Amino acid sequence: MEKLQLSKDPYNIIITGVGGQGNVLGSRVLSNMLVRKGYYATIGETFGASQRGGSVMSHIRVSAKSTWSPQIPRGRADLIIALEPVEAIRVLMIYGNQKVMVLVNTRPIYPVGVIAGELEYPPLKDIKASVKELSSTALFIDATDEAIKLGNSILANIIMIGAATRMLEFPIDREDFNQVILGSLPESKLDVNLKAFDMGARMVG
Amino acid sequence: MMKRKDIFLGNGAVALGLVEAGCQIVTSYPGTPSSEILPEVVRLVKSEGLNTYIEWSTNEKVALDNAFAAAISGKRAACCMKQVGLNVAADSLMSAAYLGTVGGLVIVSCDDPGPHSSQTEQDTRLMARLAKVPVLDPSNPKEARVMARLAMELSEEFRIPVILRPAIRVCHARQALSWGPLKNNTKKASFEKDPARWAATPRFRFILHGELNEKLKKIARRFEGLTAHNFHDLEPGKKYPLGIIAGGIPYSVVRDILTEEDRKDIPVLKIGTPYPFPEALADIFMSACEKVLVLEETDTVMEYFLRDRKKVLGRLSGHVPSEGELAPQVVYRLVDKVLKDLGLAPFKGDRNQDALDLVASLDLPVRRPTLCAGCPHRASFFAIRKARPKAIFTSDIGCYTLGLNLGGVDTCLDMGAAITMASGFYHAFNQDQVAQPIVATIGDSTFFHSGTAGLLNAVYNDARFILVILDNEITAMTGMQPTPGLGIRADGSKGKAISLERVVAGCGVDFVEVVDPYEIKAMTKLLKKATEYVNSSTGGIAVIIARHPCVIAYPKEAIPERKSVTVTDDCTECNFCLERFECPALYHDEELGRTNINQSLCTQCGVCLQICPKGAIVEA
Repeated sequence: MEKLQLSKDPYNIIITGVGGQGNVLGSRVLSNMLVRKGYYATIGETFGASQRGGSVMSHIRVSAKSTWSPQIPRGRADLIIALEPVEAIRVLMIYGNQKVMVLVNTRPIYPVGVIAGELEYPPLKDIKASVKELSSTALFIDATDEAIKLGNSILANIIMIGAATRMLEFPIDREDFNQVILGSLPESKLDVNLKAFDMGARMVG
Repeated sequence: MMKRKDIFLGNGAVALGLVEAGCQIVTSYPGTPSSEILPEVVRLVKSEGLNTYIEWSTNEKVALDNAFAAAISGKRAACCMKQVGLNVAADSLMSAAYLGTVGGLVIVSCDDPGPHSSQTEQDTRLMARLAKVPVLDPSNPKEARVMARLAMELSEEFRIPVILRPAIRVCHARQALSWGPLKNNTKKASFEKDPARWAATPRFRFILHGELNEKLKKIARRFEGLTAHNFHDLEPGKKYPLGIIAGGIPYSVVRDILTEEDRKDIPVLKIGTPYPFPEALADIFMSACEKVLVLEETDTVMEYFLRDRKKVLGRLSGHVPSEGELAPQVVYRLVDKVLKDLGLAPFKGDRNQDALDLVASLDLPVRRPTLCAGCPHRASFFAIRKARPKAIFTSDIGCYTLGLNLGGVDTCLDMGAAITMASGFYHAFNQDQVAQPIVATIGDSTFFHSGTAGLLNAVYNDARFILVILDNEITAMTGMQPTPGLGIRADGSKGKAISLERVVAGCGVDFVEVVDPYEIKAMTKLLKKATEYVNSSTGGIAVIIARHPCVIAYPKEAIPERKSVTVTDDCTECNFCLERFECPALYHDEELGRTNINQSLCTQCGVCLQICPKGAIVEA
């Protein structure tokens, strides 16, 4: 196997969203793809009380040389995959920097405070403007909309993973995804997940 | 046989280490961040065809007692819990330390600095010191796995319980591990009667205490040379203005920061065995450094053992925060400040503050956790508030603590305190001849864990209140573990289901009624009937079992008949439903000028059809 190298080591990825969006699964799939290629990956997750409708986040730290601690320091994210727009900003505020790339699913999930009318959800155009201002590359896709077309909104996380692989320098592709899900998903779910992955990859072309 | 490489959760790495160590008995009570250890043991045992005995115990003390008996039969046993669970098991732990073991006994107690999902940030290492048992503090999942094996070997060799203390960032990290086929441990159970030890009276306890102290001295000597887990990077003969002593996750964090900042001028002593503390090793490190900064979670343990107030910087000197996690940014800032204070080169720092100021103007809505759409607890709390609006609502630990959003939870102390605090409130008010209504809520799993002693105490001492057992037939909060009420065991096999009704009646309660909380009218009516019973001179404590399956664990059973719901123009925007019912699927629609239903979140449970004062929520 050729010697692995990264232009930035460790390379720090954050997947963020709202409890129930498949954040944890997304981080596991992406990390498994990287480990298959011989990288070291450490994932740090928040779950527990924050699961039910709270903000959730997975940190993935990828290295060609060694394992890193599970928490990305402030200001040190390289790619942020946000399954929900407001969560993109929340994470950017803490982990962003001038070089960070951001991939955002544009479908909002309103917090209960917003539903009850106590809080306001910022307009999507303001969120987009802020994300652009705070990053070097910002891509916006309506992954949830495409997922619903595929039959289940939960597939948005896989669409996002498919899209993210196009933004990363790592040599990971559809075949790595296929191998990873072969070992972990029931056979009946394989096809639709591959479709979701391809859809994501196409959306950022 | 081939080795495989898989990504393991930290808790899975602990499970792997235990199974590799030939652990024959594993017991646990779920609690974040420990809950996944036992399911990971189940997964490994099933995939490798092992005969390990695994159980979800009713509480942590029960789990530890069970494992202890196995360990004194010569077997290798483990029990797993969260740090506050160890409080429940403390009675057992303190005594087990004196008695010792024959086989191996590992107690895995997972800490929650932050806290993320616990009532305290307490430090298990202090509990180990209190009980006088060794404790191992892993800094990543890989080390947690190795330490699980080491803990078992130490326990068996020195005949002492050993605690493994991974903190939440270890438990919930994932790393790839190579692992191979696992084998059964064929050690047979045998119990040698020795009442002077296993049933020791105080006179013998004194002797056992001396034995324990001798064991600790020997273990401390072993830890001095345990270079795989206790090590430093001093160069021989060199003196340093500052060194760092760290253990657990803070070690991993500071190691990464020093690497990224390229600071080879700051040596680090990593301690994986905080108790008994390897003092000689620490002395070598201390004498090479003018000042030593101690980084440990969550309390002061190593800092106490270092015993040099002039040299040591840490919590006692105010250099390290005394509460909260030692997250990377916290460690970065505090080490940077120490460097500046000592006149050493500070960190480079690379944060763009302008960008932060820009987004600060965007007021982001917070996401507080809430009960799921379709959750039966929401219906219960709605009925309780409707029937007994002026009551004190004592509650307990589980998903239903979120009933505080609905005004249905006033107190949450510890496991089982819904009942014990209800009787406490009753007697406090009754002494003043005040008839204060009290409604306690407790989940089914929490009731089995710690409910019965409090309930029979309340009955015996003639307290008066309504107890609602929120029976969703699962331990939902911690990730859907089965309860004794369900009769399904940890490995999925069938156990004997325990009837809540019979347990409650057995505690001496004469009013026990079951209701489906989805039927809000029926539940409200029952609550009124219960109130009459509580208030009558011949009455007592009324127990209502609000039984409806968890909507996440059993989506089909929870909602057998789906009802499509809509809101009519009769809605007057009074917001009663949004405030008092707070279902995530209900929202105020600015354009329509009324409440509306988010159909993608709605579970079609139909409970909200019963709540609108204007009758504006109807079936579509």
